[in-house]
Amino acid sequence: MLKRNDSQQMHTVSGVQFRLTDRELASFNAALESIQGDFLEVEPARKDLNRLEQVHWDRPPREAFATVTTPEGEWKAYGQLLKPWRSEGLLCQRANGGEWAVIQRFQPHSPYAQAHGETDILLKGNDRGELMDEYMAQVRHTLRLMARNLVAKAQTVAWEQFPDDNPAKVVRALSQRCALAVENSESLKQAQVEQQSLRQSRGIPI
Amino acid sequence: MLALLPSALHLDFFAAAKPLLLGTARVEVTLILSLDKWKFRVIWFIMDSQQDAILTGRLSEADSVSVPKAARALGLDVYTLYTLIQRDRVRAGLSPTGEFVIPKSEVERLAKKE
Repeated sequence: MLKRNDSQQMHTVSGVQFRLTDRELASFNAALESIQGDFLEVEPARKDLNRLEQVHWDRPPREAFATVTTPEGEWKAYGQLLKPWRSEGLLCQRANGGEWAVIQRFQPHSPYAQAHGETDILLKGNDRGELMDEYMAQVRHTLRLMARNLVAKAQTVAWEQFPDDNPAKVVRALSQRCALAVENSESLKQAQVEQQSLRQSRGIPI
Repeated sequence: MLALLPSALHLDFFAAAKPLLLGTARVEVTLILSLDKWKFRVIWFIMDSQQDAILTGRLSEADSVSVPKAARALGLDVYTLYTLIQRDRVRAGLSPTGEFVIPKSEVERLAKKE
């Protein structure tokens, strides 16, 4: 049974729709801390997606800046879409014009590229705008998948280190917080700083 | 079972032959349809009990590695590995705590030239 101390404060946390007690917040912070490093992998893709969402894809493309060779032939690269640490997503058009594609290019010396080729065609289509809409939807989906996994990792801290502090509620808070971080490109670190200041200034007594 | 399928469909059940002939204890069949240049291709995946575990069950720590670790082994970043999982290029499972993990055998397969 949970003991509730009368002097316990409730805290509002950015991105979380309900308040947390002192102990729940401690659990939440510890869990969040455990995925701080993993979240660095999410940020570059999220930032690139924010940039892509601002582009008007109906405008004519600039000049091609590279040629990409795939098993399906040669493509001209018109834009770098995503640049995670060890690969890049390129917007390409067939060298002879016409069809567009999003091509993922891996680092040439990576074991994966050595075994499966340096390039992979993700999407193809004749309408550049539609192609980009679909690509951005896929990126959003991948980011949500990553956020879900971050929660799965973080929740073990809440259950193992703070088993008496309402871990199910803390996991719900983590889930909401990670979803927001992925949607808005707001880093988890920012959230934690906010929580600390909330703890000092906006605590609401029960 | 094959007689139930329309003859116009291209069947690739090469992968199915081995586990069936070997009499694998548990065999399941998944039918995947995809539109490929105006032709339907039907690919049969016969999954033995181990593969079934990869898709639906939990994997032990000894048999699997985390997504970041698998990504490092393959020279990929984590984001890219997730895109490959989403596109069924990489098989992933769940750890006992619910995290995505990659079977060690899958990492070895992915790093090998086909």
